[in-house]
Amino acid sequence: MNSFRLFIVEDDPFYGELLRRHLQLNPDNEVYLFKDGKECIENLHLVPDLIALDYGLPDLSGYEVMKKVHIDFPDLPVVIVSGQEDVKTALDLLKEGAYDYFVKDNDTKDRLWNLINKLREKEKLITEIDELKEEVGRKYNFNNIKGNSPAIKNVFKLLSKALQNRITVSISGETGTGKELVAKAIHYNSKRAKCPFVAVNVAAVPTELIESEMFGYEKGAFTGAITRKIGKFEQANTGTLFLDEIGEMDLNMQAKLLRALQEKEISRVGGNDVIQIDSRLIVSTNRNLAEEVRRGNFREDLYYRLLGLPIVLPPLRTRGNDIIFLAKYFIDEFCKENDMKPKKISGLAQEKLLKYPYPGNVRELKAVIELAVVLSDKVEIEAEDINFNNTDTVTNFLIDECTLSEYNRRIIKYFLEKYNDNVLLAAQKLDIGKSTIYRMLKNNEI
Amino acid sequence: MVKLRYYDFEKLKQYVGDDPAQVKEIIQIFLDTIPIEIEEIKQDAKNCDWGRLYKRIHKIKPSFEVFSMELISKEARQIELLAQENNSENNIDKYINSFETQINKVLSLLKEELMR
Repeated sequence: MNSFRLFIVEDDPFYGELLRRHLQLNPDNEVYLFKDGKECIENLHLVPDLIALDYGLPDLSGYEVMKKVHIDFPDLPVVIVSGQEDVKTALDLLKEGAYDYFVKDNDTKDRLWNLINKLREKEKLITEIDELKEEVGRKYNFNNIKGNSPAIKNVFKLLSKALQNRITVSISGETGTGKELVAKAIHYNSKRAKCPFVAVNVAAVPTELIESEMFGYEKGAFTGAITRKIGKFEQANTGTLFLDEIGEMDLNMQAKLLRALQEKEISRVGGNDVIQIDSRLIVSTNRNLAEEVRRGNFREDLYYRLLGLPIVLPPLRTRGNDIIFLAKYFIDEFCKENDMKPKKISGLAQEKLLKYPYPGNVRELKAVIELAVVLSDKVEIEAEDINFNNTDTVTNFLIDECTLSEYNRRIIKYFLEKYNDNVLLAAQKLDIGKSTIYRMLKNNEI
Repeated sequence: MVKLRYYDFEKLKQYVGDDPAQVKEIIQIFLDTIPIEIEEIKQDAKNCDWGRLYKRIHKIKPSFEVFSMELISKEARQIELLAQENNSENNIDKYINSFETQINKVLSLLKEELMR
């Protein structure tokens, strides 16, 4: 554990020494004892984690020392230790920025001890939060958006543009193309990375709740509003607000959103206070918003305000070899996460992957690959390990991209099997001559 | 007959632990600082500088509590109250003399402790 640096500023050498020795019983505490305010200020370059300041010092008052300390170190906790049990003085000092006020008695040492532990714990939590933020940042690093196709390279180009300013970004693309991943990549690579990223799935919030969800509400604003609630706009203040499926927002709420964006301020439901907002907005939709405007389902003025920098995420089926690139990446990730030996993917399996249209895009590919890794018994994933769960049977049928004569053969074979090799019935069902089927049977085509 | 204790080291040990060397060092600091403070207090009284006297007695008061010197603590509080009155007619000298006598008694006992 890192050492905790504490300054004790105490003009009574006996009492100061006593506190110093007590707090040094924990070897992680690095305690400095100063006899007056001047010495304390002169040693601030040592950057203490806490200052315990006697209120009645010979040169400067505890209040004056605290003020001087807070000029250079505004967040440094300063505890005033005073022999006087004066509530007014204590309250005044707390108002002026003292972290706490201790009356000098036999419990002072324990209070300081506990406070140090509390601050250590707080510091640990802050470090953990920072580490987690960095980890999240790494997770949403641009390197984690995979692909080499021209379509995805164009997306990268636009992403880098989005980082240089706070322009509203509108991301569109089919389901599963990674709209939220892109929104997070923009946030966690921007100057706002350390501030909150707040996502709202507009489609998932009932119409009657969306306003209070977005703007928050005051206590008593409506039945059940027993406490004040901070809305998503406020939560995302200084950070990024991501409105997923914006195309699903109803017209009434669209008007309120437009006003909030124009004025850069909101009011909580049931409240009168105007709250300034400073959140970057990223929206996404899988609808064609321009078309929704034409149909009257989306406000034109809001559409133009939200359009900002449009990023269109290409469907996976148009990304060519990115499918294989992503498949290999998902295989490696899944094997790593599950402590499995790395697997390869056979040529035939690759061909099969390339032929499928992926209506669920990257999300679907990931699921298909993970299942394939689980099903595969060998070091190489084979074509039969690849299973698509597309409910569209026509798509499934066409996936092999056969010639027309091969499809003819498969269809006739299917009908013969279905009707117990009754050639006449199969021919009737397919509206073809029975001689066609007989000829194919004779030639061993079916 | 129960022997009257002028002080004990229980609270002191709560501060510095059971290490006898640490206890002795702290006692030595007490022996070094308190006589100087007493002299200053007497000087402040002589100069009728009640403000300084108040601050000084107020500052050293917690030290007596660390040694559980109850009688001395009580006298220190009394002097503190009298100093606050800013009045030379309140026999503060009498209290300071008594206080000094008590202190000297305790200091010599503590010196003996150090010799052991």
